[in-house]
Amino acid sequence: MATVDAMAPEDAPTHTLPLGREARDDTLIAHLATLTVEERIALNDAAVRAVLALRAAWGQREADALAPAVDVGTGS
Amino acid sequence: MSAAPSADLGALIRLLLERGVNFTLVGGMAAVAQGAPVTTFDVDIVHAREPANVERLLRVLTELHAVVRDPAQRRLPPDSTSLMGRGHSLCITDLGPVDCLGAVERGLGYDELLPLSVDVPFFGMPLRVLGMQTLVELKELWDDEESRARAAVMRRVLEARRSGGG
Repeated sequence: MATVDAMAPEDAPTHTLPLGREARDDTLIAHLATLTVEERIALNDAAVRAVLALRAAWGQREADALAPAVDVGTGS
Repeated sequence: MSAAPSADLGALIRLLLERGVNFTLVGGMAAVAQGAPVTTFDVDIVHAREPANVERLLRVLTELHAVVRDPAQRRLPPDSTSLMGRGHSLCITDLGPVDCLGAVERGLGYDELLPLSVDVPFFGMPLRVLGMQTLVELKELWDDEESRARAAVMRRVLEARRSGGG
């Protein structure tokens, strides 16, 4: 079976993550629309706890440097 | 702001509702509640500045050992005088940070935000959140990079909703 990389774009499975920030946002928006408010806030809390754990383990500067790569803001 | 060492912001919001505090959720958490793909480290509320409601809010804050985030690093408890005003009481609690705002941009307080807000169900209770359109408009008043990025994401949620995709 061909790998995703070897496939022509039209042959790629539909669950392949789209590339680019805007496309990823649209995928997330569509997914979040299916969740309850409780689930959305629980996801936020899980992301925050992950960043806090990274800060505790690595230091704030290093953890916050990673945060954009996982679509997590660093708080304001 | 600096984040609290722990965060259970959902539990914080739930406790406020269970204790009968009248407030509108604003800021990043209002966007999260309405399905925006953003992450926030705190809860921002605009509370009704009536004495009885401020007393209920203060009781919750006291129960959660709230202290005001202070540039001088003093550990000051929130007080009813500040909560009755139009200013901001930025607190750290056992469940995470909560900003109690007397008013937001354009001087909008609880009463002015009511017609701009919607109720969403949260653990069987109505949670009042500032509508996404107003959230975007207020966020676009800021000129920093993060605000512009968040406003753009929130606007995409609005567009997706209008096109039936979100």
